[in-house]
Amino acid sequence: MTALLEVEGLRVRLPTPTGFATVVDGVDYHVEQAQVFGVAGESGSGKTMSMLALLGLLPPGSVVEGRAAFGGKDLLRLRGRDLRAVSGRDIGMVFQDPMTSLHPMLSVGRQLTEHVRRHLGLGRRAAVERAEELLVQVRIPDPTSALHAYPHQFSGGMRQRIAIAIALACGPRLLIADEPTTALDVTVQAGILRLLDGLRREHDLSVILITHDLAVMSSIADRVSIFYAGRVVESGSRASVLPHPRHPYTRALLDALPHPEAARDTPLVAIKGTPPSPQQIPVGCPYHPRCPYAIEVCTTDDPPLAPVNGRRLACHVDPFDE
Amino acid sequence: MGITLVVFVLTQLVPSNAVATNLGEQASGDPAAVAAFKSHYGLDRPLPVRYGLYLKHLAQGDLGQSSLTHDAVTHDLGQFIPATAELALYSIVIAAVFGIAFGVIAAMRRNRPTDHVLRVVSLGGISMPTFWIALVALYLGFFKLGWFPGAERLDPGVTPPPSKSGLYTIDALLVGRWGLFVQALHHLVLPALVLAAFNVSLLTRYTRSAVLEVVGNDYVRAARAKGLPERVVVTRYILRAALPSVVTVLGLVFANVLTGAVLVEKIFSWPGVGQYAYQAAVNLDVPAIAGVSLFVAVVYITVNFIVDVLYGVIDPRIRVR
Repeated sequence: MTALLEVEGLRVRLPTPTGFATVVDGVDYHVEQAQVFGVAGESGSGKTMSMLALLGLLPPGSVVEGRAAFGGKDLLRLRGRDLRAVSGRDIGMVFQDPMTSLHPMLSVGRQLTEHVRRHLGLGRRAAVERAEELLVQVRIPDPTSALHAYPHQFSGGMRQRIAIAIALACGPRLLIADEPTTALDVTVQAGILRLLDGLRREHDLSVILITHDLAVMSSIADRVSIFYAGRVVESGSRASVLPHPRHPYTRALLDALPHPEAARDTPLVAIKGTPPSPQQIPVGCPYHPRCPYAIEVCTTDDPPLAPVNGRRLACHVDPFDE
Repeated sequence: MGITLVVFVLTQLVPSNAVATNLGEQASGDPAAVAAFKSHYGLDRPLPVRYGLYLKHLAQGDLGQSSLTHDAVTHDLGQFIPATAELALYSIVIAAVFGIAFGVIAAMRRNRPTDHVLRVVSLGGISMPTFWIALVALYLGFFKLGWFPGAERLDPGVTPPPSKSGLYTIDALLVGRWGLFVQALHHLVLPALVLAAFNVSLLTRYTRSAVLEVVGNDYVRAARAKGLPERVVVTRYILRAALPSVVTVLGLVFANVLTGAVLVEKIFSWPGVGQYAYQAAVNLDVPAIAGVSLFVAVVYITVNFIVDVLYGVIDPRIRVR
């Protein structure tokens, strides 16, 4: 089975006043048909940038290297009209904060139909019908009047549903959801995740789900990649990686999850230290300054992402080998 | 109402002697004539009563009589407003079109050569006083190059088109006289450009910063992710979001054009309200000054009102329901 999207050696450098900062440093991953691929990592680990790079949405002046095969094309080589033919049509994108990702001065109907008419060549009426259908799918009550409303008239959860409807409007094969639940209440989060999961099954849709919340990921992802400092440190199927993390960073992320059933006095666990700034990635394994298992070689050699029974892991020590 | 009071008090504060300006030297020596003049114009009554009278006349559309032209101020204004309106209209259109376009271009080409050039030029436009730009433009465009006429709305001896709107370009078009239209336009170019210069710069700078404030927004990224062409992203998403700030500045531009008109009309011998105001001020023609002030105030308030209404049209979040 060939993958829907296959990314190899993706490298993103952003311009800063003091020169380029490498925010994504040689990332490989692939997304299978009708699967949810989860990308996790702390803020600043390059998750978002590696996705924005796919649709050419990086800030001007950014440098992208690598290859991203999608439907026989290399997304990273597409420009202008060719890129726009894919964006919004074959690949839909949902952003983190629905309060800012919808234009406040344009009606929901307009934002939901403009790209449909452009990509699918539908007439006004057909596009409106399609928009109503979509709103029903994402469970917006009273779709007809919702089309005439403006984003500020909806709650955060509703707006995110609208944003998802916009991303799905042209029947894409891949949906990139960048922390779609981070800005929402926990109860609303669950609803959005259920919605995404349902849509994926109905439409045979592949989803890239970016999150820093492993709990979110464990609920719907099929395969996961853990990002740290612009690299993948561990990846594999959810069933293998999340219950048995092998990389110290993955384990630390899992340990940092609060457990509601834990005893009252259990202290919350935090990963000590802060993620490195993209301008000062440590030599060797980028995680070694924060890693309790670090040994000599970690400070000098960057561990390659190597296959280790059923998963891929970038660690010299591999302290959790069973 | 507040304006009428301010205008009235100001006219009373002006150290002008209505008797002297109106009667001339000989008659002001004659006590009987002075008394007759004062009682005719109500100048022998106490101030509040005179304010009341002023308001009463105002309500009847009477702004008094100009001591310079000896015509009703309303009549004078009626004569001069169309010339200023035409000049203002063209310079505001020039300012809006170029200012907004330059601002958007500069913002989209941020920190690239185009942006730098536009920023330097607009800084120049803001820093140079209008009268200086006007004099330089007159010297170059009229005197040195001879490309443009230097004064008046039409060439000497040419009869204006029959007045419908009072705007020569429009009136000329209405009667289908192309030659006259071109001539009127030719006369307009230089003063309108000069009057627009400062405002183009102002709008360029404000539009640029307003656009820069919204380009980084998620919804702009989302619009690109939808595969919309850049033209649509810029106009529908970016410019739309920047529009409230731009409209605010457009209101300011209106005020600038009205005040700038005094200088520009003087320098280009443009027979408009600015020229009238200038003559009135120089000759201490109090009723005319009061009339012009009131006119400017009314225009200003109207423009501000329109701006407020536009906010609601542009942004659904502040729409009154």
